[in-house]
Formats: sequence, structure tokens, C-alpha cells
Amino acid sequence: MSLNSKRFWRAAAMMGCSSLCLAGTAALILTPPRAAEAQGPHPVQIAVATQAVAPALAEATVGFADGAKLTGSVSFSDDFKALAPLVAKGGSTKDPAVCGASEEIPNEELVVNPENKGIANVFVFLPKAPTGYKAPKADKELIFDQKNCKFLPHSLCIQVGQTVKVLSDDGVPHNTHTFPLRNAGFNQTVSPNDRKGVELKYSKAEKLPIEVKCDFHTWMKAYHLILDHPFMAVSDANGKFEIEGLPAGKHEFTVWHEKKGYLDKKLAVEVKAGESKSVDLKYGAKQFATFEGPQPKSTVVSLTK
Amino acid sequence: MRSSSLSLSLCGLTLLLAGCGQPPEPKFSLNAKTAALTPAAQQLISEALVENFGTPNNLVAWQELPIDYGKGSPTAAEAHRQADGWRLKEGRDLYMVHCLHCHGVAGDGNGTTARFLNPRPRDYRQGKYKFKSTAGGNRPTHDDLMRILEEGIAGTYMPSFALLGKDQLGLLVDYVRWLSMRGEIEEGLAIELAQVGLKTADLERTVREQRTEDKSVTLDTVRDELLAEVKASWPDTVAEKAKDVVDFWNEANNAENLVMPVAKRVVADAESIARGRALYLSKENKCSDCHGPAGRGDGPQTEQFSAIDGASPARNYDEPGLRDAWGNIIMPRNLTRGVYRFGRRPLDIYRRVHQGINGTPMPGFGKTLKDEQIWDIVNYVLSIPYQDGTAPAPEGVAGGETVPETASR
Ligand code: HEC
Ligand code: HEC
Repeated sequence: MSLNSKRFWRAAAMMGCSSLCLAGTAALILTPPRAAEAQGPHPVQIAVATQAVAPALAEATVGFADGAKLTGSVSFSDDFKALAPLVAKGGSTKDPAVCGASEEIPNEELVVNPENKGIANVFVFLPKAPTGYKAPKADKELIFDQKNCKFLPHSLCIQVGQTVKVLSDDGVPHNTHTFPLRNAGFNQTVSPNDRKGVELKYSKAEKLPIEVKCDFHTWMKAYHLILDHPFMAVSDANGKFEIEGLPAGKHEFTVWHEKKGYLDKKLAVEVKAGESKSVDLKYGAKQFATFEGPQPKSTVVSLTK
Repeated sequence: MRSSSLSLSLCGLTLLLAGCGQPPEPKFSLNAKTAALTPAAQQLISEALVENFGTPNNLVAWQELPIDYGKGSPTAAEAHRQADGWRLKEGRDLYMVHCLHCHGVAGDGNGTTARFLNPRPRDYRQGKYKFKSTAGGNRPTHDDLMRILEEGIAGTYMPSFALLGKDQLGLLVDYVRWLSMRGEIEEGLAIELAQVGLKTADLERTVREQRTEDKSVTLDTVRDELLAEVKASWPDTVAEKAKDVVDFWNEANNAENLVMPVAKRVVADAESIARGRALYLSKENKCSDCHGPAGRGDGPQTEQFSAIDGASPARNYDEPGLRDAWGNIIMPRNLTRGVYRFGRRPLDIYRRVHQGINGTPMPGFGKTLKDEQIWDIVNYVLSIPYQDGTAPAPEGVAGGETVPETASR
């Protein structure tokens, strides 16, 4: 449902006197907000936007059978030194018998495969479903696990309404605390070694991946991308990703990574029905650099003024 | 010196004579997230807010929001109630008198008294409320907010306003909801523009990066290009944000989101309390990690360093401690005092344990514990003030394992 078609009514309430302490004595004068709309003491009707809705695609063109496929790889184009682990082996200050006991807990803020330079955890997705496309119900259950006080996977693609089972393979309690913008927040504990799992669902699409944390283990962090269509993927340990069933035509993908944010806002790709298309994305140290030094003395604002 | 004291007394005189002085006009402060944007982007947001919400002295009642603004009645005895929008206006007037100095004009929790208080007054602009009957991050119901105003929040500076009477409290509740919706829309828009890259700091960085290759790039060119993109769909963006906020507040009244126990309360006998204590200390639940083995609010989690939300590169706060959604240090409740912020009925404690406390790290246990177990915990929690905190942990429970461990990063 869009707001465009709805009408917005409004009334302006005016206070005659600006004094706070005397606010109670002020009179309410109903004034139309803009002079041009002055039509007497009634609420003014305004339509907020009148944008034509693009014609819907024929449902048949969007089947999964002869849909196009996008495959790709994301790789790091410079030398990469692995980040220091968040918790060294045996070095945890919290639940040391479980967290980081058998192996270190890595820093997954930027994970690059030393062999093929593939960057993991890069989200590639269509910000909006193709016009007219109606997503099929996602009934595959997703698993969001925890082991060695680390979320598994670190980055997860979820469709609206899809069931996520939050599991734990650790002998300590965890809690799954989400920080969405368009969904209501979720913060529930997961029992130690719970292999049945706690159910988590989202009811609305988010614009960008959201953070998920555990308050028992403050270093734990993961990302969920929630969209109302299935055209999203996250790169694996080799930097590879795959999106299936795309409607034929031109698409603009968003490429996003937790450390940098947008790597590409509009990655234009054209796909043909029934065919597979491959893209190789390369990003270097420069793209991932975060500025930590002193602020520069000047920035060029304008060349003309 | 002289002229200023003269104008002061003149001002006092006008106040006396005319009843209407010239104090600074109240303003809705900018959200810090808006203030971090480049001025042109700030202006976009400010204009959208003024159009749909007005200014403190010139309110706009946006009919799209699920708020009863008060329909004017031509026969009303009070003149101002003859016109539409009188409830909003009266709510504002009451808020300015009773709440302003703590919660601030915009409901930013930043009134003049706020900096002396801990916990700080609620910043309504995220729509995050702690004490409510609804699940998880859902908004509070009208009745939840009424109850807060009637009872106050025990153990904090938030007083009871019961003496104002139900009618006036209803007006205040709607004004708070209105401020909340306004704030949520502002925050949503600011986050959106920040994501586009319109934060002043991000813009400057982009310019620096791009200038190494192309010397014709300036702050103006980069900003204008980003802004043009934003402006093309701006009315839709504002409408979408408003719709999200409206949905959030409507969901609060959805019966599915009301937290109600299925099983009846377990009798609070010695066995139930002992079971509750075992659950409290157990390695399955570890309430003690935060609240401490004896419930003093001093568990080892209070010595851990928390990560700063959304910081890039990821980093921790310099000071250890749990943090709330507003970035303030928050102590787990000292349960030996028997002071509960949102009611001491067993049902209230049940809801806190079942859902956790929104806007804080306290998680809910409703998905892992059965109702009977939660009631056992409730019975134990309510008995803590009368317990011997030094009693050894029950047999088979590793309560002793949660010893304070040394803090480190
Ligand atoms: C003396 C300062 C003070 C005044 C005056 C005050 N409050 Fe508060 N208020 C607080 C504090 C402090 C909190 C936060 C308590 C907490 O976080 O546990 C709070 C919290 C709240 C909450 C949030 C409850 C929740 O569930 O999260 C609401 C709503 C609220 N106040 C409304 C009001 C209204 C309406 C008024 C005026 C009628 C008012 N307050 C006046 C200090 C004040
Ligand atoms: C991750 C840390 C954490 C864990 C685990 C935790 N709590 Fe809390 N708890 C808190 C914090 C923080 C507060 C204070 C919230 C506030 O100030 O609004 C709190 C508040 C409370 C309150 C006070 C509610 C009120 O109305 O004032 C109770 C009761 C409570 N917790 C019980 C429990 C029980 C029982 C458990 C285990 C089943 C538990 N907590 C587990 C952090 C935690």
C-alpha cells in the first residue's frame, strides 16, 4: 500500500502568544499552512505525490524456470594482512571455558581469503524488487547458529516473512539482539546447546543490512539483510556469489560491505532470459580505508566561488 | 550593562502589563544525526518537518498520524475547543509546563534538568520505550503510557502526574506520541541521508578521495550530485517514513503483540522460590552474569567493554559497562532493593523477564523458558530483598562460576 494515493489532511494550530509560561492562555487559531491554500477554516487537502506507477510486468515473465542468473566474485586488489583476532585463543575474559577456548575468535570486519583474495560477507542485492514482480513466499527455513561465541553465518540474507531458526552450539547462553530500522527490535536469549532453536521473523524489508549482537559477549556481531524479494546474495569464503531467477533485462545492484558501507551503489548488469552472466568485482585497500588520522586543514568547497 | 538591565526590567514590565513577554521562541532541536549532515541536507529535513509538524508555537496536525487531535465543537464552553486540533494544543501547553525541563521541547530528553539526572529522561525520538505491555521493540500502548504518567517510574526522577487527572494525562500521552512520531520520522530521514553519503565528514572524505584523480571535483559538485538524486524522490521518501512510523504505532494495539502469560502464576512457596533461584543462577540463563549472584546488579558483565553502535572501524567505549540504546552506561537493576520501575505486580516482572527491557541489553527469556519457569523466577526475584545474599548456591547449580573476571578489551 502506498501513501501516494492517500490524501493528507492537515490543520495548523497557531499560538497567539509565544510565552512558554503563559502557554495556557494562548488561543488556537486555525490557519491554513500556506497562503495559497487559504480557503477558509477547513482543513486543507493536499496530495503529497502524484507519481505514475510503472505498468506491471506480466506475471509469466518472472518465473524461476527460465530466469537469468548472475554469478560473480568479489576480490581484494591489494596486499592484505589478516586482522588481529577479536579474542585470542584462551584469552577470553567472558566464559573462557567456551569462548575462544579451542580456537581464536577472528575479527570478521573484513575477511579476505589468503589464497584467492576473495572477500567474504559482501552483500549484492537489488534495492527494490523489479517492477511488477511478486515474490513467492519464502518457506525455506534459515539457520542462524552460534559457535565458539561467534555468529554463523556472519552475514545472512533473509526474505520478509521467512523463518530464521536461531541455534546455539555453545555451552553458554547467548542472546540475539537485532537493531532494525523498519522492524520492531528483537532481543531474546538462546539456551546453551539449543539445537531446536528460537524463531525469528521480520515483517518488513530493510534498506541496508542491519546489525545483530549478543549482550553476553560484547564482541559478537552479525549482519542480516531483509528484503521483500529473493534477489540478494552474500559472498562466500572465496568471494563468490550467485543470484538466480532474475527477470531478464537491466538491473542495478547494490554492493555493500559492513566496513565500507556502499562499495557500489548502482552496479548495472544486463541479463538475458535463461542465461548466466558473470561479474568480477575488485576493491582495494583504498576502498576499505577508514580515516582515523587528524582532520585535514582544508577541503576544497567550490572552484567557482 | 546598563542597557541590558534596562531591557530586562522593561521585559518584566511588559510581562506584567500585557501578560506576554518576549522570551526566546521555543524551537524543536535538531537530532544529532541531522546536525551531522551537510547544511543543504539538514534543510531538506527541516522543511519536511516544518511542513508536517510545524513549530512549537505553530503546530501542524498531520491527519495521517494515528492521533486524536480533537475535533472542534461549536458548542464547547471554552472558545479554543470550538476549533479542530484543540487536544494537540492543550497537550502541548501541559507538556511545556510539566515535562519540558526534563524531556526537552522536541522530546529529545535534553531539557535543562536532564544533565543532572541518571538515568536520563527518555529521548522519545527513537520510539524506544522501556516499560510496556507489548513485545520486544513494539511501541507502547496508550494505556502503558497512561500508567507511566499515573505512577511515575520508581527509582528514577520521573515523577507521578496522577494529580493532573485522567483527562489531562490523556492529552499528555498523545502529545508524547506525537513528539515521538515526529522524532522517528526525523531520525529515519537523517539515517537515510547519511547512508546516501551526505554526512559532512563523509562528503569531505569523498572529495579528498576523488580529487586525487580529478581536480575539478569539489564539495559542491559531489554534494549537488548526491542531493539531486535524493530530491528526485524526496516526497516519496518522506511519505514512506511516515507510513513506517504509523505502522509501528498501530502495531502497538495489535492484540498479538500483547505479552500475556498462558499459565497461571505458580504459588510462591519455598520450592518455587528455590527453583527460581536455581534458574536465575543456572548456566542456562545466567541472570547473574548481569545482576550478580546475589542480585546486587554487579555481575561480571558490568566490567566488560561494549562496542559503539555502528562505529566504523568497529571499536569499544573507553569505559567498561553495559550500554543502553542511547549510548549511556546502564547498570543492571539491584534486585535486593525491591524497587521496580514499571510496577511490582508479578505480571509486571513476568513481562520484564519474558520480553527483556527494550532499549537496554536485558534480553527476554520468553522463547527459551516455559511460563511456569518464568513464574518461578518471578517468585524468586520478588523474594530477593528478603533473602540472605550470602547463602551458597543450590546444589548442582554452577552459581559460583560467574565470579567477576578481570576486564580487558
Ligand atoms: C524530573 C524529570 C522528569 C520530568 C519532569 C518528567 N520526566 Fe518523564 N522521565 C524522566 C526520566 C529520568 C525517565 C527515564 C526513566 C528510565 O529510563 O528508567 C523518564 C521517562 C519517561 C517516559 C518513558 C517511559 C518508558 O517506558 O520508556 C515517558 C513516556 C515520560 N517520561 C513521560 C513524561 C511526561 C509526559 C512528563 C510530563 C508530564 C514527564 N515525563 C516529566 C524524568 C522526568
Ligand atoms: C545482559 C544483561 C542482563 C541479563 C542477562 C539479565 N538482565 Fe535483568 N536487567 C538488565 C539491565 C541493564 C536492567 C536495567 C534496565 C533499566 O534500567 O531500565 C535490568 C533490569 C531487570 C529488572 C528490573 C525490572 C523493573 O521493572 O525495574 C528485573 C526484575 C530483571 N532485570 C530480572 C532479570 C532476570 C530474572 C534475568 C534472568 C532471567 C535477567 N534480568 C537477566 C540486564 C540484564
